[in-house]
Amino acid sequence: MDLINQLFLGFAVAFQPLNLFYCFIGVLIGTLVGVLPGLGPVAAMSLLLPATFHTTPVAAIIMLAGIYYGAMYGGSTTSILVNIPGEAASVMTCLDGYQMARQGKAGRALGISAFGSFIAGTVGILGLVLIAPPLVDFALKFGPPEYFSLMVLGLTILTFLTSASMIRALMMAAFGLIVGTIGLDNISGLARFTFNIPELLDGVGLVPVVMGLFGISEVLLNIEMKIKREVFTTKVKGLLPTLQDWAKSTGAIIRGTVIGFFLGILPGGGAVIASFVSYAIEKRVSKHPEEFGKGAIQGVAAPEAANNSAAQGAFIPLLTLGIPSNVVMAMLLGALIIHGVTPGPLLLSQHPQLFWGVVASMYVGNLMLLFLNLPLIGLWVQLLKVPYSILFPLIILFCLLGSYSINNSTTDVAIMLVFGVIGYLMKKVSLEAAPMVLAFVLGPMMETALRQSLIKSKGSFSIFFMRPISATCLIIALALMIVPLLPWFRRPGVTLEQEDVK
Amino acid sequence: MARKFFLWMGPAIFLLAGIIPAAAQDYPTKSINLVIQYPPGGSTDLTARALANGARKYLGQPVICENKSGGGGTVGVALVAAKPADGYTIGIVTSSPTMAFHMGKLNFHPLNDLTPIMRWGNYLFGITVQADSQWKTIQELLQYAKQNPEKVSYGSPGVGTPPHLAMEELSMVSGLKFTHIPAKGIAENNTALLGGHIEMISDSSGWAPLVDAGKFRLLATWGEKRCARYPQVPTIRESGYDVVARSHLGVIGPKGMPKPIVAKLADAFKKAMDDPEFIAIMKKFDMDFYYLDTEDYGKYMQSDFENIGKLVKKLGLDKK
Repeated sequence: MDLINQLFLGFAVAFQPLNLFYCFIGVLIGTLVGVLPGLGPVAAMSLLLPATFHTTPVAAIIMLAGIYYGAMYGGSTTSILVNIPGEAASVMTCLDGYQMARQGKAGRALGISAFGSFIAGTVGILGLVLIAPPLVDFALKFGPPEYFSLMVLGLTILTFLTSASMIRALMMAAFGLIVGTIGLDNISGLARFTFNIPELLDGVGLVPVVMGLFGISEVLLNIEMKIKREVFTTKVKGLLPTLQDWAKSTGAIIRGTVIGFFLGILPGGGAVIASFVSYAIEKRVSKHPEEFGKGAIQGVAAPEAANNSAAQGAFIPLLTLGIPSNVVMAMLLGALIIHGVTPGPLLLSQHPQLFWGVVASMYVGNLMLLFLNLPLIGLWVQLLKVPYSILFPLIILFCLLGSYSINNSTTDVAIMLVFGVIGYLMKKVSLEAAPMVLAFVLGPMMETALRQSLIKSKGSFSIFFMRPISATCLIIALALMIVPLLPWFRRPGVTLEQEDVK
Repeated sequence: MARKFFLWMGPAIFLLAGIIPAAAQDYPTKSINLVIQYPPGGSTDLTARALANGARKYLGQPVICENKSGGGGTVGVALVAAKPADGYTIGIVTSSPTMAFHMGKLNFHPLNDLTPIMRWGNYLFGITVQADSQWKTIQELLQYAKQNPEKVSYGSPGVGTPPHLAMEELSMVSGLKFTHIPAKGIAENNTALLGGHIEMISDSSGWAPLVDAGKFRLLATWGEKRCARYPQVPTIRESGYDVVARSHLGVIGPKGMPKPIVAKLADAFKKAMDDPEFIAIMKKFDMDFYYLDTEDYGKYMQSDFENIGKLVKKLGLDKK
């Protein structure tokens, strides 16, 4: 069949020594970059872009792509070990991964994260090859009204993220929405909440915020409590996930992969939203939702699978239409143009070697990453035995460096520190950060989509209900909000009020 | 004793080195920083880097590019304006700071706080519709818009961007009314047009691969002349309305740069424009070669400032 031939062509290209070499360099750098908090794949790619000018286009793209999905693997490491998301998409991994580390299960968390990422990445590549064209057509049907309704659906899902009071979660979501408004509004041209600081015109960056809310605040908390950290110095029980872990995580990985892939294709969607949604859904379908947030392995497996398959899905609009769905893809677009390859609908027909070579090398890259990351688990776990008094200044140092490196801007460092303090205060009064981050990410997109839709419909709200996809999303969102209130749907273990258990 | 002597000897030497001014004849004695005001990997970044590489051989020192993006291309320029005018920090500029200034959003003055060095390029902007759209020429589009005011919706990369202001100017001059749906860049606009959510876009040349693939139709371009890549496509000017998208790419420095240093930089960058790598990259991004020397560039910035000011005021976008 033609597809098999193409795949063989792709693997032939991917296994050329030059391409293998660049693939390895790319995933290695990607992993390192993912582990270091703050420094993201974009920074690494922009630094290495000139180095690719002297090689073939195929090798260049293979390396740059490797950096991107490699970073998704590495980002979970610091999330699990020290509660600092190495990448914005690894935020959800912090919630349960770090708790697992505190219970001596860091190795298992790291292991399931690596395996889950590998499975998701592989399936994502299959999806790219098999169902990309019809999927892209479907994704194109998403206009501003559909995006708005999808975001509404996303925000209702945040109700599943909370382990405690709904009111507190909504408070945090409102806070997130407000922080999301900071910056230059694209539609009216007004600067909101920028206090004449020019760096705020582009809004508050997601990465400094999550580094502060999760990482810095955790350090502050630990310093205050002066925990002896005996928990970490006990023998780490096992470095790889147990069979039980696998049994529990299989469903999570599958669900995470599917969700991540679809959300990755949507231009503007992406790995961050995918990780949030998959975590929330995993919690919703679990028989023991109260375990989430305290070290449930599904809480690590699902978002990790999601962010990796989203990374593969994000390539689809670029490779099939030439439209970049996020900043990383935009960089790849620039790199391709420099090499004389103009991505667009004609890419597949004009440069089949490039297309299939890159796709095949993604599989090779994922394999390399698995073999890179698994042995490293033992090394990372040793890191936890370092006394905290030495560890935490290093953590803060890396955070400061990392937040500066995003944009060469001290404003980002300041934002990280401010949110570090805010996060610390939030933890003191048990307010959760996850709803805030989700609202912060979704809010601006939702607002823009809402206003664009209303401009188009000249102010009429019916546009959201007249279009089928949009209406469907809104109806699902409504159902999700109402159903938990109905008595015959109430799930065991979730109580709205105190109930006697005899 | 000897130790104390050396202890203040060190700072004294540094101070002395700072006091002795670098003579213009010796400029440059160390590497020069070029601030690019857009993120890495985009058309501005890649062409500016090629230009900087080309200039290196004429300056004898490396030109190190740094990306400081934000504020629609104003943050990087603001940072350059705040640096000392010794020729070791320069930057790339477009018409965006001028537009932002007139809309009340800039904290420095694009004329008074900058020294023009030279102008080198321009983006390609155009109007595209879907390939199976009912409008096959720009004339048909304008005709339809005349008969159906505000029915044609178009996407732009954002409020105050050159393609948006150009459409507004066209509206003003022609009396036609369009509905503007701002987006956040060409990728969003491409997606929306592909999906049929808008009927036309006015944006920079990111639509080119889709035009080549037969998914979009390029109706007109916004330049003074037809563009090299699509010579069969007319400009808006040719369709009877004398409107051009106001944009350019230039090199600037902080205010008060000594003339000999400016001259050296301008000369080096001009020669860099003939560098084959630079030419190749400009062609790849469909950018125009738009050269003006220091003096003419200064005059251009002045007239650009005034023209954009009038336009922004007429459109009611100024916040003063």
